[in-house]
Amino acid sequence: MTGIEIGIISVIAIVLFVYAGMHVAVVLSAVSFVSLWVFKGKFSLAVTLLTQAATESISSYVFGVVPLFVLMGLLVSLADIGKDTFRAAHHFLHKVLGGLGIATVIANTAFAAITGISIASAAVFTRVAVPEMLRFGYTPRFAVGVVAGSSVLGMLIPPSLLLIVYALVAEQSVGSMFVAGIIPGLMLALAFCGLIVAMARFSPRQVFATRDHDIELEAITNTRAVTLLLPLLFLIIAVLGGIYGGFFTPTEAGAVGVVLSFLIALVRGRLTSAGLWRVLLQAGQITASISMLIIAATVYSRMISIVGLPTGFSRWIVSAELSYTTLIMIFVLLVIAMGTLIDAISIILIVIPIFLPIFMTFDNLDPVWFGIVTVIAAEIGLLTPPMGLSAYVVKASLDDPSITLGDIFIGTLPFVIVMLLVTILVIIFPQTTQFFL
Amino acid sequence: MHNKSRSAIGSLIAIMNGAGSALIVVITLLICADIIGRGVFNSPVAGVAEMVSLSIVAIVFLQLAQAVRSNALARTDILLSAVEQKSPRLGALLHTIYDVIAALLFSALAYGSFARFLDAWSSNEHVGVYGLFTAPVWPVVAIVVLGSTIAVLQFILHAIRNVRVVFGNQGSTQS
Repeated sequence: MTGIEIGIISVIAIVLFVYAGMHVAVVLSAVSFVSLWVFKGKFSLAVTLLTQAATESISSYVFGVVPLFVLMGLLVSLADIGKDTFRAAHHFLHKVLGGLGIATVIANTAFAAITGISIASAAVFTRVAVPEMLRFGYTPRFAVGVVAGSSVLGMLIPPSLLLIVYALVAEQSVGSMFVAGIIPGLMLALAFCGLIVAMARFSPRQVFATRDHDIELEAITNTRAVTLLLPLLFLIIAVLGGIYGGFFTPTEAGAVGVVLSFLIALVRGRLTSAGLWRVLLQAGQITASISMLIIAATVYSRMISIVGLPTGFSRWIVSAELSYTTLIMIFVLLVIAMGTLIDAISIILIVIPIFLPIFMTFDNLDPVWFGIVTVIAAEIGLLTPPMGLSAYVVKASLDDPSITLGDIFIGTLPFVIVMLLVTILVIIFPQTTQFFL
Repeated sequence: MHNKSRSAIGSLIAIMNGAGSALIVVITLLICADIIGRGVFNSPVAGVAEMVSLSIVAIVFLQLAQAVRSNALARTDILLSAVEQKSPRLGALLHTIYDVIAALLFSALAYGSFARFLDAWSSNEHVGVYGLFTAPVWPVVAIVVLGSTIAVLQFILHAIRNVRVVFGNQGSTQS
């Protein structure tokens, strides 16, 4: 067998095993291990590569961002910062048509700037925003759709775990990924707001179940609403401001974020020692799961470059005379298709080692921009059935059993379409990711 | 007898899990101490970068067995759970196969990292800059060996439980 044949069989085997429910990290490393063994004919070489990946691939100062930002994300969810942000946004927007939906998107956007995990956003805002929207006469489908849809902002607006994972796999700097994510993230948030206004205006029956204007709004003053936002602003300035201003490396910013969000949760009396311990254990588990994926992806990407898959693939693409446009369309559709069943991190780990080298053969292609395109496309999978992680988290966090998973998927559909449009925009205008560079 | 060995592994895993989480706190404080030391007293803490990069590996392999035990490793289980609902036995068979493959994989890692450990131990391998800060590499590699070995045992325990379901005497399964 030639190397390229081994490579193709491995990739197919990996996708099949992942679909069949094997642990993604185990699939990636076991299949790569066997392929290397077959290709080189040496068991010891496969063992060495596996061991090197385990001991060296995550052993870096930069990798410290993973546990730190995960822990920070869990702490801010505990500290009621999401709830307060939503209350303030609600206060300022309650007179606007569809204002609660817009408030949810804006609160999510702001919350995304202090947390890197979509599941944290989805869980927090399901509990905070959905009951409030239902109380104000919005339809259940619309309410859960807005929450699930806007939760994807958590993974796009920096700090974001997906951007970190891409940076680690594609060997880009975490800082420049964080800079590149700003404009596309804000574009997406803005597009979501536009969508909500348009839906409320042109198809109100999908948005409002009743038009009840007598409901009492929680009476807070403007000053009080602004004070509610202070912890959030403080964290954004310290963490993102620290990175963008060049005061902190992303790893340092993560550590500062952990300490500050810990202090905020402590001052607000949200932190019991049992709660803190639970959050720490949870952060450890998420870190272990992600790190095993990164280790496995390292073995896998070594394997496919040793068997020569990307080179063979590029040669084939040149001979097939595929244009850049066709190729990027195929790529985005592939990522979206995988997203219906596989989680976003695993998709990035599987496709990047194959496609990044191919795309890098095109002139002037920016790997940072490519990362943002991949992240948005992979995030569409958070919202698409049958396996849309955000929809599942929303469902799990709901108290109301009458809202089904199907309602959530239908409710998020308009948001999925908007995400597609934004993906296309970012592809057509790579400048959107290079704004501050 | 069986239960005893299980709970012994269980408590070892819990201890490792706690140690791993505590280590996250340690690196957080270390990095903050470095920032304050550098910014306020103009004297950074030596070796923070090295300590962080070694600790990350330790954190992951201290947490690994617990992640296996509590099924926290990422997977796509939608098809698998559909199979399980139709036929619990077929589902358990698939689970057994996956557990065995994972056990083999982590055995290879335990074997490879043990060789790496002997290497680091006998050559007294260090990271850092001599004179400023150095730390030995072997303790972390030892944690990789330990973590992957316990993960193998945990996968075997999972496999045993699943095999019992395959052969139909679910009643005897203990958790």
